[in-house]
Amino acid sequence: MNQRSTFIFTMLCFGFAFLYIPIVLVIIYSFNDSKLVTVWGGWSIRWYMELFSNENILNAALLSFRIAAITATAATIFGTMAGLILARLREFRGRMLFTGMIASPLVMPEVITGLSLLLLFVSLQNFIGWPSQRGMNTITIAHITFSMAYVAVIIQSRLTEVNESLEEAAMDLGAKPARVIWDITLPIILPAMISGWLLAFTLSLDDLVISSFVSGPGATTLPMLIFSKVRLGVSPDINALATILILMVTVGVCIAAWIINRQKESKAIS
Amino acid sequence: MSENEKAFIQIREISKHFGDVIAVNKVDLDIKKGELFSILGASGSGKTTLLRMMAGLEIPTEGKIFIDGVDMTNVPPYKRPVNIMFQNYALFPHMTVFDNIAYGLKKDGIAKDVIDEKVNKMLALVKLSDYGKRRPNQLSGGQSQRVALARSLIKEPKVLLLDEPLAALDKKLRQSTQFELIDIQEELGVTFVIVTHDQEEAMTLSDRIAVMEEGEFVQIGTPNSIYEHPNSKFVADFIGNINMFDAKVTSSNEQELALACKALGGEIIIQNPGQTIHSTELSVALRPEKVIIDKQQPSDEDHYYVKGVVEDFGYFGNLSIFRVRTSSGDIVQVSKQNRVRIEDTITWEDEVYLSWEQESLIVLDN
Repeated sequence: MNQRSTFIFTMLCFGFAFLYIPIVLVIIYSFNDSKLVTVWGGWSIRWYMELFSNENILNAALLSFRIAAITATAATIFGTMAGLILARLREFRGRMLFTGMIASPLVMPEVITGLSLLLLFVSLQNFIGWPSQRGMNTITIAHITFSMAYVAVIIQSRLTEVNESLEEAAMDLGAKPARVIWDITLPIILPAMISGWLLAFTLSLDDLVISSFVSGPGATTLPMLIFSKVRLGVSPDINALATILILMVTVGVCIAAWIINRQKESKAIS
Repeated sequence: MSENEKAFIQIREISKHFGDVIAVNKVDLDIKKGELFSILGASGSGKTTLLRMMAGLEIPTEGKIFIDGVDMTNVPPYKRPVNIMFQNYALFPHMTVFDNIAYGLKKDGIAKDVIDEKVNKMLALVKLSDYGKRRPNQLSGGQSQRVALARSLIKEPKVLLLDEPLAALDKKLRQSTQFELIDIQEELGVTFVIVTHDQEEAMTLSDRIAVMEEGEFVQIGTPNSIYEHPNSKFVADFIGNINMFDAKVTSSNEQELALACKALGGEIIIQNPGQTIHSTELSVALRPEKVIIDKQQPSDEDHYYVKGVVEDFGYFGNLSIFRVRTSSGDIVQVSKQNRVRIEDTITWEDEVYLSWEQESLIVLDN
């Protein structure tokens, strides 16, 4: 018994080490004074200073955050609508098709999504003249299309847990169907919508492949910038940037976990 | 037509199909104003579907529903003068008890001070005056049930539909809540339609019961008539405990029915059977509490009796239940009130005599 628990403990340590040592190294090396990434030259915050004075990086970060915020909001709205339809409308023509189409972005290789969206934007430009040029708008639209699928799945799975008689009770008490969604359904799925928003935000912030396809001149997102910088050789300021991103993701994950936990607790009481 | 005018809820030839499954099959029903009416059936008998059609949550495949003379068949639930209390209570988890109860009034655009007054009155009626600020997840099962009841009564519906109102409560609570329900119904005079699978609940609560099986009504009547005069083997078996024996008709006319029943000791004469018997094979049923069990041979010549041996017995305090194997080899269930505190008790392997009055026998056509 004791032997077994030692074994499990060792495995756990190895697992954590495997996952987190690289990240810890990145954080430590972001405070490295040396110009060479692999040589330790003492502590400093020099690369952070450099990072904040680099306009390219700041602009790219700003663009990425703007795209991510718009994407997350739009994806939450559309995804919630799709999730509501999937969970609450039992039978309608083309339900199977609709379900498949909602789920397809989840399994589609990013390269193909990116390429097909690029083709769409190019042919739209040829036929109706819009979008006149690719850039932030096209990236945002592309991000919404794939991230709303994730939101729809989250909302749908939450709604299948919610007893439909709650909505029926509201209707029975005199609320019209649209009112029922506003009064009952949305407040109950709000936590799921928030976690959907956070997920869409990180998906958009992370995306490199699809953005690269549908981006145009002047629109460089943070991942695109990092990737192009790394191709020319790793420079230490990337470590600093990575550390900031890690910090932000950690905060985001903690908030999401806290929301989910609170939801579970209130369920446990009832 | 005069009978139709009296009925408050009229259900005419109503059916509901789910794909190939027929949940409710051409059902007719009249419910009077102020009545406490139960629909009793096993799960899957179509009783909940029928209730949901009355609430407007399910649209009938065919047939019509009239409430207070108005055709309600295609009226959406939010426009019906009917409210429903769900089996799981369906309290809105993100609202306080007060807001839950006030919800229906708010949707009607009623002034806030009127809402406050009505809700407080309703909270008092269900004895939850101090609980207005609580959330549903801070309530016990019995309290949730009363909040759900209050919420469904606040709009003063013409009809209150209750789907298994007591099923989620434990036994003790169920009994006291039953009487509370009856009190509230009497106080408000609302017509109650209750759906339940619990025959005890249906018997104690209702003025009339409809027994439902496979989407159709088998029998409709008062609790007493359904218990004492079941019209089929199904109803006799479904309501309460009963002994059922095969019998053959030996002679039959309007005044007298003579049967040969091995289990009950040979020939049985039933005076005024009240029904014309067409078949030769039928069943004779006898409720366990109508059988008298005794170690002494009954002296009364008019009593029918058989001899038997106690095979099994259970002591419940207020009564004892015996399973007696008669000389013909059949098992008869007998229940006996323990009226005397100290007596010569009957126990396993005792030789006993079972007797009953002739009127206690129920003849059921196969």
